Amino acid sequence: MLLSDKEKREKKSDLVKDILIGFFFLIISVGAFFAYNPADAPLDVGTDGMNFATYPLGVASLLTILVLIYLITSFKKFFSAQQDYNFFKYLNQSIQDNKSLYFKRILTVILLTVYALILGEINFMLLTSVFLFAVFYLYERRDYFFMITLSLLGGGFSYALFVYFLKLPI
Amino acid sequence: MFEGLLGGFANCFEPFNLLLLFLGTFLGLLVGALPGLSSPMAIIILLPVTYSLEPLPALLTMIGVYVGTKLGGSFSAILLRTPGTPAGACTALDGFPMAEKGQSGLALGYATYASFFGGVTSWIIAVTCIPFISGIALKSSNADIALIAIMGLVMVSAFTRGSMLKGFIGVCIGLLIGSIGMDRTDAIERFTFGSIDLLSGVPFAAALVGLFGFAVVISDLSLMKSSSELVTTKFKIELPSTLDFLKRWRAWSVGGFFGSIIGAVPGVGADGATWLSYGTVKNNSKNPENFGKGEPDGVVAPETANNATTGGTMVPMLTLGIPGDASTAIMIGALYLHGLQPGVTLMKTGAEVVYGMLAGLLLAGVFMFIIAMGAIRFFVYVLRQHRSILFPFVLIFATMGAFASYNEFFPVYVAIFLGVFGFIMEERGFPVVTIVLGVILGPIIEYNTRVALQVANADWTTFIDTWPRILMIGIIVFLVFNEVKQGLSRQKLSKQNI
Repeated sequence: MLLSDKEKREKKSDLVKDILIGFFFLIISVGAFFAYNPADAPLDVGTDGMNFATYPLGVASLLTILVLIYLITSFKKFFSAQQDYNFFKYLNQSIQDNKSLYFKRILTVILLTVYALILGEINFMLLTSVFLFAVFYLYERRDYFFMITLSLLGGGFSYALFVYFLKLPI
Repeated sequence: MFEGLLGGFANCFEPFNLLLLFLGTFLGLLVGALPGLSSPMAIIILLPVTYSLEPLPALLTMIGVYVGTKLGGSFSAILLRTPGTPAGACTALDGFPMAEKGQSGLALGYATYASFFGGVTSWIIAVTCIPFISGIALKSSNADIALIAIMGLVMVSAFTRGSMLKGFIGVCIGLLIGSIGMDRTDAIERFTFGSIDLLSGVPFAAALVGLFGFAVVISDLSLMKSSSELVTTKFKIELPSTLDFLKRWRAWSVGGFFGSIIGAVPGVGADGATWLSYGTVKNNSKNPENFGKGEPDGVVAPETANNATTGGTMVPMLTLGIPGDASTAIMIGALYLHGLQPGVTLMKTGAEVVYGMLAGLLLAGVFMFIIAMGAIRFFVYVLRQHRSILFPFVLIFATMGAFASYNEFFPVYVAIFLGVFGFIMEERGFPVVTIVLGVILGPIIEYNTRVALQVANADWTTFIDTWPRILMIGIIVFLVFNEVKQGLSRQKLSKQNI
């Protein structure tokens, strides 16, 4: 089955993303060799022929090998693809096309982080109602009466369930 | 035995006990379906409530929750691809594609049928074969448990559609995450970056909430404009016909077998059983390529296995005082709290409670089936709403799920971090379920490998000492080579396409 030019471009952009995530994993696997022993404990071998470092270093070594295979495969695929391709141009186009989606995703994470950070500082029911309203708004609901009602009901229900019924110390 | 069981049923049929069992099962279904709230969490939350009760009613409530969450976890797995429990993750692989094809009612029907069947099967096995199963469980050495867990990991890597390499990378990342915190054998901290909160490791509930809750919401925001098309407005539960269910004998028999046996092996729990069953059924299927795309066997096998573990886990718990999974570990704590001594003497000192629990296990399965019929309608009503209404509530419940695990905010921050991480991985085709399996099974593999080697004086041939171990290693090697072979042929095909 032959691919169209557009499909080839998308495929190549996927390969660039594969390479980028491959490097991200490589950082994790190599970083594991430096971060496994934060207390600088001695590497004494126990009666099992192992110590606390054997397992994480074994896993990190395996991960490094697998990620290198993944990177080599991705690079080979990338160079074997014939299509002329400008990643940054494609990235820019992709951001333009999906601006609203990226915005929603980033703001969801930010709102969630803020909610988690101030949870316990402000009244739970009030905070949850405000959070719900903000997320409804972010997700492009504009039926304000419904949004306010649902936010208040949701906040009240959450309070009843988690604070009153389940006794969570929030 | 028979008289004891009759006495157990008589105790269970007392109105107060029956009511608590019913309420526990209802709560279990509800909690199981809510992403991030798992069975152990619900049981822990219930623990203070049950202090004031007699031992049997308290434990019946917990058993109801335990059984209910098993099926409840599949509701959101099928309808939202957000499993409420870890074991439900496997059901999502084929349940969600079925729902996408407009067969949500049928997928839930298969799950309900399979769960009920799995529960009844394992109950029969547990009650009639207790001496046999407990004998096997008792003989499972650390080397056996380590090998079973490794087999589970290889299986999960094999499930990865398209690339086994991605599956293995996901598993390795999960294993690294699972090794964060204090080493169980040497009590030395690893990957803690100076954080006291990380000394006890990454909170498991946070990993679940992050990878299955937040990551899915962030990912599925792209579907925001399309309101849920998974169900029709006139929803009707479609229980499969008995003949159709019987035709799927491979799926439910494999699920029932693995669930009952693995459930009886301490520490592995339902997660390993569901993945093993799924992998076995997939690998033996005439149409393995249909798996992951809405194959009913892919729902039946894990759901049967999931509920079949309930009987299996009771065996080592009630006969040896060894928990089969986290929920039964908490139940053992509850036995202590109520003045009972779990272990080999429990059958003598607390026979009434033991038989009551066994009877309650079967009745909870019946309640689960009955309640599920109504609860499915309720959940379908909730899930039929626009995603812009559902997702904010999923975020709230998932946040509370992470918080409730430790009653601290740290797991919530971890969950948010893992949510973003899981989203990036999922976008690039690395299934997050592989990470979760790595997190679950990693500590089990490490601990049991080290103990096995300590016992064998660092002699690695202990892992090929017995025929079952050689068989397990054979299966692992076969699976790896089979996947490598398939991967190479896939690569050749993709080269031709470029």
